[in-house]
Amino acid sequence: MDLALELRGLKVSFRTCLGEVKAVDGISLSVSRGEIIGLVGESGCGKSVTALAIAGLLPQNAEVMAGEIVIGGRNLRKMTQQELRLLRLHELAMVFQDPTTYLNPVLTIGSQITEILLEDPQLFSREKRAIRLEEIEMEEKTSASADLLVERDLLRALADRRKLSGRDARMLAEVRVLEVLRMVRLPYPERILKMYPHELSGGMKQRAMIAMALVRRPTLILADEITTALDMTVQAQVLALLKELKTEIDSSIILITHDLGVVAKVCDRVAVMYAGNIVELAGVKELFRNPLHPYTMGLLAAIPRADAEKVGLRSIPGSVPDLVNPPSGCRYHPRCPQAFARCSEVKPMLTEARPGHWVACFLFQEKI
Amino acid sequence: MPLRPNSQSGGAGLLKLHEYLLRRLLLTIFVLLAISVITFSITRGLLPPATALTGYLRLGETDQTKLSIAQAVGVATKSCPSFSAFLNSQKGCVVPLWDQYFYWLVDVSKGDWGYSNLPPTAATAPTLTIFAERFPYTLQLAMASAALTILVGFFLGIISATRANRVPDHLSRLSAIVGYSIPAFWFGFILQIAVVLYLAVRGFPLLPVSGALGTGCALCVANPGQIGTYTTIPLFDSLLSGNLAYFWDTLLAMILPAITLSIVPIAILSRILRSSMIEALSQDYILLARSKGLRDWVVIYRHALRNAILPAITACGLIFASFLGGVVVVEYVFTYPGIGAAALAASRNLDINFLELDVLVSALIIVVANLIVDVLYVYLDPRIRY
Amino acid sequence: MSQQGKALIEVRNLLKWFPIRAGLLGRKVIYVKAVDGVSITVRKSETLGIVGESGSGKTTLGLTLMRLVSTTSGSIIFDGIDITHLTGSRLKNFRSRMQMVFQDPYASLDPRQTVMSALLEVMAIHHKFGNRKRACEKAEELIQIVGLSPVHLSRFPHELSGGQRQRVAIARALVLSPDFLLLDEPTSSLDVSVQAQILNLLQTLQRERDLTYVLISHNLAVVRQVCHRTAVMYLGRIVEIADTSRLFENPKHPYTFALLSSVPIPDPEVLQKLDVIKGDPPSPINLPAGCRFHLRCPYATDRCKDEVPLPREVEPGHWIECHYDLTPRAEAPGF
Repeated sequence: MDLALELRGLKVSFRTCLGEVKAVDGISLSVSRGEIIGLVGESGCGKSVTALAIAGLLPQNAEVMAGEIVIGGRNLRKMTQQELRLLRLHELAMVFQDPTTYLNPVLTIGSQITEILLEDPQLFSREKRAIRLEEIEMEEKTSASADLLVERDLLRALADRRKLSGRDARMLAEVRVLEVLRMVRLPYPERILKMYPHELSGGMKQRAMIAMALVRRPTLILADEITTALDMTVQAQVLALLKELKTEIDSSIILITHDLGVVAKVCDRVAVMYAGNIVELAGVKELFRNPLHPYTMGLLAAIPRADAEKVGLRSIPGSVPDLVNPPSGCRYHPRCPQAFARCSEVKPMLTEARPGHWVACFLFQEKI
Repeated sequence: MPLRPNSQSGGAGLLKLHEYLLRRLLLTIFVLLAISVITFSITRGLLPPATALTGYLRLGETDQTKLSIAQAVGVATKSCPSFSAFLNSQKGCVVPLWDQYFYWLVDVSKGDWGYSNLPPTAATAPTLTIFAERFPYTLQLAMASAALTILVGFFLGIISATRANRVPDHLSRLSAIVGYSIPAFWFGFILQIAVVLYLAVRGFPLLPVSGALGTGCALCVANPGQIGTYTTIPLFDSLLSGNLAYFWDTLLAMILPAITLSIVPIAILSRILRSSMIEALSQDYILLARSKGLRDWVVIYRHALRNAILPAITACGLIFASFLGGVVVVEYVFTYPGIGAAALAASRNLDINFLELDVLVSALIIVVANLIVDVLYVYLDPRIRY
Repeated sequence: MSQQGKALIEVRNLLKWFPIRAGLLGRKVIYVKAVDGVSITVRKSETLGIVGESGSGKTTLGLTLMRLVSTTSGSIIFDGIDITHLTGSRLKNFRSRMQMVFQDPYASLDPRQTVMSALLEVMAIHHKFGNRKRACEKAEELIQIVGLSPVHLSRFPHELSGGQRQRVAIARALVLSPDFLLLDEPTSSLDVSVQAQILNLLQTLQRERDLTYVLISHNLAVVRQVCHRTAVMYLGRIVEIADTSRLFENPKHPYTFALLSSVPIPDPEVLQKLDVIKGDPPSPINLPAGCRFHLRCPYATDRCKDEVPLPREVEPGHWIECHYDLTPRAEAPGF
C-alpha cells in the first residue's frame, strides 16, 4: 500500500444551539507512506476536527456528513465501532497538545503504554511471536540494540508456550515499551516506567506520549499541536526528535499546527487550511518559495521572524468567518485583496496550478 | 542528561509519611482532649452537681449510700460530712470541676470509666464492660451497611455517569433524591410492617424485624446453638466456630436494619460518584485512552474511575465513621443491641459515664477514619504530598 | 534603534521569593526564588522586551514591577520616586501612570460588563471625568483609537472575537493616559493574522502617545519585531540584555544562543540546529551553586560551578552575566 491515508470530500458538522457549524467543508488529501505532512491553519479552520474525524473520536454533537476516509484500502465510514477501535489500536495513533492533561495522573507511564500492547491478546499469540522473532533475527544482522537482544531471548524462552500468562505477557510488553522509550531518547527508561506523569517535565511527558503512539508501529500518526504547549527549547528538542525518527520509522505523520516555522523545519508537504477548506497543498519548499493562495501569502506576510526584522507586519484585515453562515463561494473572499465576482458565487476546487502544487483559487484556474 | 524528579510540584514529598502521621497523632490527642473537656463541662459543669448523680441514685437509698455514690462518681469530696451538705453545695463538699476532670482523666488512663446504669445489667457494672459488650453489634451492622452502601452506591453512580442524561441516569437520580428525603425511622417502621404483615410465610415474617439474632422468622433457623468467643463480633465468631446456622441467623437479622441504614448514604455516594465520574470522563486523558484503542470498559474503570474514586473515598470514610458511631434511630427501631440504642438510653437515664465514653469513642472513630482516608489518598493519587 | 531617553523606571536588585512551609511543625521554609536579583532600567519611549521560558520569572517580574505583588527586597523607582513600599491611595495615584495588558483577553475582561461599563469603571475608580457625558465621549474616543467602532461599546466580551477583546483591554489600559504599559504576552492567545493587527496597533499608539512599554513574551519573533532592547531571563536573573538587533545578531550568553537557535524559522531553505541544549527549563526551587546555567551550559568550566558571575558590559549597552567572552556556535549541522 503506497498511500497511508486518503481523504475524499470529507465534511464534518457540529450541531449547536446556534445552528449547524460546518467545520470541515469537503477536504481531499492523500498521505503517502512515510511522509510528514503539515496541516496548517489558524484557530477554527477545522484542522483538529479533521484529525478527530479520521480517528473516529468526534464528540457527541459532531458528525461526518459526507466523504470518505480510507486507510489501507478500508473505508472508515463503513466500519463498526469495534473495527474502528481495533484500527486505533493497531494502525492509527494520536498525539495531543498538552501532555499534562492528556496523561492520566494516577497511572504510571509504564502502565499507560503497556496497556496498549496488552489490550490485544492476539499480539502475543504464538504465530505473532514467531513472526516477531524472525524480524528481530533479521535485524540483528544490521544492528543489534540491547533491547532487541533482550526481546529476542525472551521470545526464544517463551517460544513453546501456546498462550502467555499475564506475567509473561507483561514482561514481553515491557521490553517493547523500553525499546520505544529509548527511541524517543528518554533517559533511564527503566525508571520512567515506574514514574507518574507529574514526576516528569513537560518535554519528557510529550516524548512519553509520542512513545505511546510509536509502540504499535502505526501506519498513521495524527499529531495535534504537539509542541504548542512546550517551552521553546523543549519544542526544539521534540522537532529534532521527529526529524530523526523519520528515518527510523515508516509511519506517516499528519502534523497539525498553526506555526509555519514548525512546518518549515519538519514537514515534507504542507496543506494550508482556512475555514474548513484546504486552500493550498504543496511540497514544503515550493510552498514557501511560491505561495499562491492569497491567504497563504497573507499569513506569511503577517508572521514576524526571529532571524530578521520586517519593515512592518502586514496583517490580514477582518477576522475568521462564522461557520454557521459561512460566506458564499470561496470562504476567504471577504478578506481577499484579489477577490472578484466569481469568488462569491462558486467555491473553487483544488487544482494543480504548478506540478505538485495545488491551489483552491480562481486566480489559477482556466476560465470555464 | 540526569534524571531529576520534577520538583516543580511544590517540592515533591515535603513531609515524610511518619512525620505526617506523627503530626496527625498529636492533632488527634489534642482533639480528643478538647472534646472531653467540652463533654465533661456540659454533663457535669452546667448542671448543679446533684443532677449529675441522678442517673446513679435509686429511690429509697439512705443518705449515706447516696453520699458514697456521689463520692464514687467523683462529685463529692471524701471529706464531705453528709449528703444534705453536699446538696446545699457546702464549701469543701463539692469537688471543683477541674479537679473532677483531672481525676477522671487519671481514672480513664487506667481504663476505669466508672460505672454505668444501663439495663440489662445491674446498677453498678463497669461502663467499659457494657460498652465493649454492645460495640461489636454496632460494628457488624456498620460493616454490613458499608458493604451494601458501597456496592449499590458505586453501581448506581457509575451507571448514572456512563449513561448520563438518559433513562438509567434519570431513574438513578430519582431514587437518590427519594433516598435522602426518606426519614430513616419511618422507612424502618415501614419495612418492619411490610415484612410482618405482607411478607409473611406460614404466620412468620420473612425476615427478622428486631434483635441481632433472628430465630422466629420464616427463613431463620430456629435453634442455632452456641458459638465461641474469638473476636467478640458474632458474625465472625459464628464462622470461626463453624456454626453456620448462627451465622445465617445473624446475617438475616441485619438485613432490614442495614437496608434502612444505607438508604441515605447510598443516595449521597451515588451522587458524589456520578458527578466525579462525569468530570473524570470529560478529561483529556480519556480522549487519549480512547485513541489508544482501549475497550470502553477499560477506559471507564481503569482510567476514569481511578480518578473519580477520590471524592467518593472521602465520603465512604465519613459514612463508615457515622455508622460506627452507632446510628441511634435505626438501632432503636429494630431493637438492635448496639451502642446507638445504648447511647439513647444513657441520655434518658443521665448515665454520664457512658455518654462520655460514647462521645469520645465516636470522635476517635471519625478522626481515625479521616486519617485513614487521607493516607489512602496518598496511595491512590500519586500527586498528593503533605 | 537604541534610545538615549532618560530612565522612566529603575529597578535595583529586585528579589521576589515565595515561601513554602515544610517540616513537622511547618517551620522549615523553602523558597521559590522567582525573581532573584534583577536590576534593570526602562528608558522613556522605548519598548523593552523580556524573554524567557517557564521558571525564568518573567511574569513575576512584571507583576512585581507593577506592584501587584509585594517585593521581598530591592527597589522600584518610577520617574524618580521610589514606589517599592507605597500602599493605599499613594499607590493608587501611580496606578494611573502605569497600566497593564494581560495575556488572556477572555479572562481579563469581566464577562458581565459591557465594554462601555468596563471603561467607565476605570474612570470612576480614579475619579476622572466626573461628568457622565464627558466620560462617555472619552470612552467613544478610546474605542476608536484602538480600531473598533462605538457600536462595540454596548457589546459583552463573549460577543467579541479574541482580537477585538484584546483591543478593548488596550483601550481600558489607556483610559487614564498612562506613561507606561506592561504587556504580558499580549498576543500569545491570538491567531497569527490578528497578532499582526494588535502589534501594529501597539506600535502606532506608542508613537502617537509617547508610551513606554515592557513586553513580556516567549515568542522571540514578536520581540524582535517590536522591541528596542531585549533582556533574557533565566531562573530569576537577567543573563543578557542588549539592543534587540545586537542581541539577535550577536548573542554572547550561551543560553541566549540556545533560545534563539530553538526558534524554527518559517523558511525551509534555512538550515537550523534547533536543539542546542538538552533538558528542560528547571524550576527556581533548588538553584544550583555558582552560575545558575552551568548544569546545561556546553561551555561550563569549574569556575562556573563555584563562582556566581556578575553582570558586565561587553560592548556599550550590552550586558551579560557570564565569566567568559563567548561567541556561541552550533556544533552539528542543522536541518
